[in-house]
Amino acid sequence: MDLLERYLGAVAALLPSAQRDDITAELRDLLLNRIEEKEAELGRPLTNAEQEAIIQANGHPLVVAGRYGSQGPLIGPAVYPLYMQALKVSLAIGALVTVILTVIALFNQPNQSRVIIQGVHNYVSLTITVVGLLTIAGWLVERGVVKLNFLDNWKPSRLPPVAPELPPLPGLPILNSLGSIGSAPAGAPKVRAKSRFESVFELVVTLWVLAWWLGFTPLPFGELGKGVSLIPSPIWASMHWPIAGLLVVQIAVCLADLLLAAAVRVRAGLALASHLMILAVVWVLWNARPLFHVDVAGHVDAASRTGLMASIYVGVDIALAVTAVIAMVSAGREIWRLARS
Amino acid sequence: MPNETDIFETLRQELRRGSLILAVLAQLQEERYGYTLRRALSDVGVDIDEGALYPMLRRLEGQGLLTSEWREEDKRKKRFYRLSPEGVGVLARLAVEWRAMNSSLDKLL
Repeated sequence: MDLLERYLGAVAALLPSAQRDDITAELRDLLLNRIEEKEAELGRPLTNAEQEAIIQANGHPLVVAGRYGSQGPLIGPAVYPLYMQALKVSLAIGALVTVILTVIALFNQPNQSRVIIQGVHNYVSLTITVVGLLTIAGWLVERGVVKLNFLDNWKPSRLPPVAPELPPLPGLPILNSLGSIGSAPAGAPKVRAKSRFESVFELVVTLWVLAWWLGFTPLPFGELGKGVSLIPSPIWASMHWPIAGLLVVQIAVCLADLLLAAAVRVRAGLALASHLMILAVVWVLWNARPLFHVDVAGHVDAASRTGLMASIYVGVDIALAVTAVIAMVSAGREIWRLARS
Repeated sequence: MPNETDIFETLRQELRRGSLILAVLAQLQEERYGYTLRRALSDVGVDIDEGALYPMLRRLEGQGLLTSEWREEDKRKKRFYRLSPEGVGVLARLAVEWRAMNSSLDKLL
């Protein structure tokens, strides 16, 4: 019976102390019954090998003790989708931030391979931390320690619309025409909402532009060719922080699209603020033209120089005008959405 | 990718899980200890793994549906289980539910 005692000892070591004696006594009785039943069947005492086979058939001590533990998974089917969503969003944002910081570091530090290795290392550490913390949070939600009221108190009407199509506002034909631009015509398939990939792409690009605007990525500006470059006019220095602020608002718009899909009014409000800021910036820049001067270091004749400058000025004017029109249309659409939501 | 046999086995186990509890509760209208309970279930065609039976008995006792008592029998201490008064009531309600479900499914199958 030494084998049986060793087995029971191994199981007991894995059981909660309050139940240990009770469970092992019952398990002993169960296994002795099996041994006796087999002995009765064979008409002789069992050999050590036969006893071992019976004990082995009862299961590994870890498995047996586990059956007496608390039932149920760490994170159950009700919480699991939320857990996975939080995990995906957190790791996507983490990847984004890591990539941006790594790219900025690549421009500022001489040892590029070391920067890349450090970036990978940082992301692996971040992933382990995020998975660990979210698993603990999921477990707390599963056990009811943390209550998530929004899972119970939600309304279908607060979900983001599938298409921007909404009934027209009475008496506001101009606003309605702005709002309908880009929408599907009546009877056509509904326009799909912005995809997660598009939002992430916009976020990456905007973060990159902000990093460049603030001087974290020393990319040259204005090099048009050998000996020809654009010199920004002083207005750009005055507009440094307003444009940085505009980019920050646009980043907030992208984050809201990604993380607050159901908060239609918040998203529309942020988008409207972004479009209005673009209009204001364009207005200031339009009134401060010319925005660039051409610096020609080499031997370019006066006619070529004048032609080049004229082309640049026309290009800037068109770009500002197009930007203003797009911002007006977009702002009109957001006002229309806010009014109808 | 699970094959048809795996899928069937998973569904069979899900189907049996609830009915096993009902069978155990029904058998414990009479006092029994674990080993004789398993034999009694087996005699009526309900096979249950002892590894699952004993933890189930403890859970049911923890829920107040069973009572237990250690007594000596055949020179060994054994734990005897039987339905508690709450267990009797729950078994009666589950039996009604089972028969209704059975009757409905019989019409479909």
